Amino acid sequence: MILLPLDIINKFLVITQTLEVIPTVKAMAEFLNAALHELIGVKSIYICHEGQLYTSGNEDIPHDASLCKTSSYNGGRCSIPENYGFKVINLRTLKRNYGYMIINVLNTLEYANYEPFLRNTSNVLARILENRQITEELNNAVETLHYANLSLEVDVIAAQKKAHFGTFTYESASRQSNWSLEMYKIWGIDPILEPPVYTELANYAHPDDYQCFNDDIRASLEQYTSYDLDIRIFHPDKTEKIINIIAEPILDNAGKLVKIRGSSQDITERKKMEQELKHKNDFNLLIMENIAEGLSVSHTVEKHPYVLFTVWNNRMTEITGYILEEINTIGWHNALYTDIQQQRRAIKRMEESRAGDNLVDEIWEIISKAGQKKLVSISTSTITDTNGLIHVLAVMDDITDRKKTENELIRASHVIEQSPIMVLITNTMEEIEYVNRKFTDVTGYTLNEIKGKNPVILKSDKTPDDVCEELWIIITSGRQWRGELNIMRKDGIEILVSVKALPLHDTDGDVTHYLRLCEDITDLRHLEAELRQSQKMEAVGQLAGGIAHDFNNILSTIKNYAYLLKTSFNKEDAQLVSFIDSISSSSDKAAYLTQSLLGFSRKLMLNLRPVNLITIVAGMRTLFESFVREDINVRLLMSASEIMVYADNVQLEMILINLVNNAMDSMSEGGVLTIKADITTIDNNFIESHDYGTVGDYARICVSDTGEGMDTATTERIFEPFFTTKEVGKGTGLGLATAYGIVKQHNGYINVHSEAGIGSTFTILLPLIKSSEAPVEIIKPAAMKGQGETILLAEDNDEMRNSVSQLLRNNGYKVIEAVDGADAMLKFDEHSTDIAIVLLDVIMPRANGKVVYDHIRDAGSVVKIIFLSGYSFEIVKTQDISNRLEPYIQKPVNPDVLLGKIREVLDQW
Amino acid sequence: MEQNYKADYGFVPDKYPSGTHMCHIYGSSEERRQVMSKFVESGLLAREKVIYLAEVATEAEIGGYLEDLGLDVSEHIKSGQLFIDTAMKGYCPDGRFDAERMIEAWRSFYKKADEDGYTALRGTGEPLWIGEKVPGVESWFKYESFLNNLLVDYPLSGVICQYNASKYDGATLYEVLKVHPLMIVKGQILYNPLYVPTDEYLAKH
Repeated sequence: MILLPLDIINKFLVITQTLEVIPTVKAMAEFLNAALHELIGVKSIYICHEGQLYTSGNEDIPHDASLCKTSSYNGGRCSIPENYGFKVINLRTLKRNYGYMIINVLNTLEYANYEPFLRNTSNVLARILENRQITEELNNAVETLHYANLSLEVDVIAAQKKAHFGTFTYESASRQSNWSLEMYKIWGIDPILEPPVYTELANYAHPDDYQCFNDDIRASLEQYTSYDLDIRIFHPDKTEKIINIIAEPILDNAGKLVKIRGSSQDITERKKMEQELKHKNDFNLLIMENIAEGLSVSHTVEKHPYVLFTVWNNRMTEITGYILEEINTIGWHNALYTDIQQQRRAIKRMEESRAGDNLVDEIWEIISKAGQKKLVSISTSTITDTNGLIHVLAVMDDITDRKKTENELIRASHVIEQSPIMVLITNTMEEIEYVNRKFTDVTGYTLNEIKGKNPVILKSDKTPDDVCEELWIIITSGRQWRGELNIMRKDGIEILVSVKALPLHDTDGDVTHYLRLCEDITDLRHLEAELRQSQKMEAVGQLAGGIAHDFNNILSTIKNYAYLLKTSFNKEDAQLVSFIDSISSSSDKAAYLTQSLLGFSRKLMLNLRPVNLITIVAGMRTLFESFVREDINVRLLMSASEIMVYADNVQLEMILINLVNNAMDSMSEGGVLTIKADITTIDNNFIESHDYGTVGDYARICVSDTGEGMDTATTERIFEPFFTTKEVGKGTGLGLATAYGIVKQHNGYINVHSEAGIGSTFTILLPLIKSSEAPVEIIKPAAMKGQGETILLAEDNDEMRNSVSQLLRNNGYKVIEAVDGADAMLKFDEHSTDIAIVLLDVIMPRANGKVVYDHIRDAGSVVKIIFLSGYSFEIVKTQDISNRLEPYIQKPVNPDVLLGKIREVLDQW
Repeated sequence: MEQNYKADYGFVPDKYPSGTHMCHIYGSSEERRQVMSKFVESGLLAREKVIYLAEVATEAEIGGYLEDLGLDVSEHIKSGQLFIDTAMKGYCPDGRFDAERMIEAWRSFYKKADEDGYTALRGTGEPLWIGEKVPGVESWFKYESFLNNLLVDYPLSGVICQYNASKYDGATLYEVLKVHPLMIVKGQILYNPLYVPTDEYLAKH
């Protein structure tokens, strides 16, 4: 054995270690060549590795790679001849040959010394090459396997993990279970533990799911059935999970169970999501079905009904009466619109909305299934689904009632606005928020002018402040206030209004506004004053009427006896005659007085006939000129030749005389008296400005003077009975009152306009009549002597009866006297054939004149009857006498008038 | 700097005297990383100045290079304790290798490190460019051999010349072994029996 030198050994180590680092065979060859070249005798080294020659030398070595049998070189041939000077050392391990080193030696002897070294080097090289190859292959395999396994494992693991999906098997023979990692995780079991026994898996289940699961496990083992269950399980830590477990038996060819193969998936989240989704869907459905509006979704289809509804909530059914199926069967346009024109409009509008022209609170009238017309408000929008199909989402609101309420509110507001009563509404700060039209019409203030102001601005000075304060206190305490206030119109005119003020409450009972309802009662108060005045005059009239009756009888008696005296004694005694004349004239004056009393109280019995006013006035010219003072200029102005009125000419004359007298008295230092008669018209303007009158044409008589005139206070009272501006004893105060009453009885008007220091004008208006009615001639009393006719005189007043009887007898009549109505009927029955005429007092005890009249007529008698009465016309009218055709004579009776009337009646009929 | 300083290289348990010149022939970057990262770290920890001439094309790649080594040395670079540059720029600043200049550069580095108060200076470089036709490359191994003499007067704590076995031919690798007294193989510092003393080597070349 040859021992190698140490340096060579050391070199060997270095070479060995370095060769392990050198990555290529070529580089190894180069290194070896450089390293071993310095060995004595070694020229160069070449390596042939698996047929590839690696060299760094320059020598050309004949080499045939095809002859290199490195893998099985056991005597195989190398192309290099043995005796070429190269030594070939195999690079061979136990496993295989990897090639050989070719040593070019210069000295074969030295080579022999180095051969062991070189052979060891080649062995090392061979091992290195082998190790590299093995390592490489191993690395490749490991890498491949690693990546394959890694890839597979990763994929499987990743997939299982992602899907929370685990797999298991149960071997029937060994009763062993195999679980995947995810399976452990799903069941919450530590993977280091043995998997649970398949037959005991149900122990992990929720008590409610245990039986079912256990039964399926048993069935899979005994009956070889598969199962697919969703069950709840509990992890060892009590966590509840929902899992799906699928198992299928695997059988062998003999039909015997080999194993159970299955999978498990944690579907807790999925179930939770499903539950949430379901809950959400249910909730959405609930919302959809319970919203206050109707909701529908539709899209077009090619065939009938052309528009298919996919959503039609309960409210739609409530509104329309149709369910979804009906709408889709009948067709929406047919169902909801019976009028063809409406259908077409609706279809067109639906198409427009589908194109994007959405409806926004459009009001349409539809017909419900029950045939009811309904007003609905419709809004639409479009939805495009993932397939591009356009759906129309419609929201419908039934506004029928709302509209009705709105209309009612509008109507109510119209009522308020057009109310004949003034309406004023303030807020709680007493700022005016609303006034109606009547308020504006009456006060002149528009809402804009008065809005925001306090109603106190309307108050006039006549209304005390404390009244307003009281109003405010009462309404703010929640109560109503009623009263009257004087307020100022915008034009400054003061009016009187009745006010009802009250608070307005909202539905919570809180006061939100104050309401004032006002009525202009200015005219009402005037009318009330007039009524009171007329009632006063009525009372006076009744008093006067009562007095007048008795007075009339007394006067009649005085006049009759004065008449009889005058006709019975020696008329040559002038003084006696004057005494009798005085008696007669005084009784005339007294009679005039009673006439006046009856006149101003309108109780006088008028003898109304068509008369020409011009004739009356013109006929009084002479009279006026005779008694009017010379310092007064009298002017008569008449615009027409004929002005026809219904009037009692006697009374008219009396009025004119009265007015002229008053005019004369006012012109103490002379002046001008003008009497004008013309025609005028009362229209609405006249009525509004004068505050009296009825529309129509009127005869107008004006009596004007240039006297001292009267102040306002005097003119306001001038027509009051017993009111006088004259000294005591100079006037009774009944003249104008009488004139007023008589004019009123003529359905006319009398008024005065006076200015102090300028004069007065009295104006009388009498309704005009057509001139076609012929005026009646004033008939003068005819001859008065009787011719022995028998007169039945029924008069309950003894003095009156005696005086009239005496008068009649003295004038050639026979008289049968009756003391009352009953007596009159008795006497008539006894002497009916003798009686030529009956004088009946209207008012008698036991039976009045009417009863006697009826008795006479019922007896079939056509005897002539004249009624007499000292009572007022009103009372006579109540006796139903006024409409009789029989003549009537007002007491006190003028003897001539009486005799003339009797004669006239006896002669005319 | 301390005269009898013994350096810890980090990848071997023993400490070595200053002036140690090693070649590191490595077969993989992991192998290199394991040695070089420790070499740099241990030098920085010992407050030595470290010179690293890295085989990267540009300075911009130095950060990534250091990251590959697993070194977070930005502060050391900022402070100047670690000087790292491209090998091309370090060895051939003007595109050619000048052994004399390089030797002088080491002298300057050593003096500067001493002036700056460092405990020692260590250096490493990757002369991959010697496989290319860089002007002056023919004097590379002479330079490497001469380094052994330089380190006597300028005893860097350690010099590692890095050689990737896959980048050089076998003959070059053998040459590398000739000029380095010690060699690092598979993380082990070994005595290199193939070393040829500088004088002898320079005489032959």
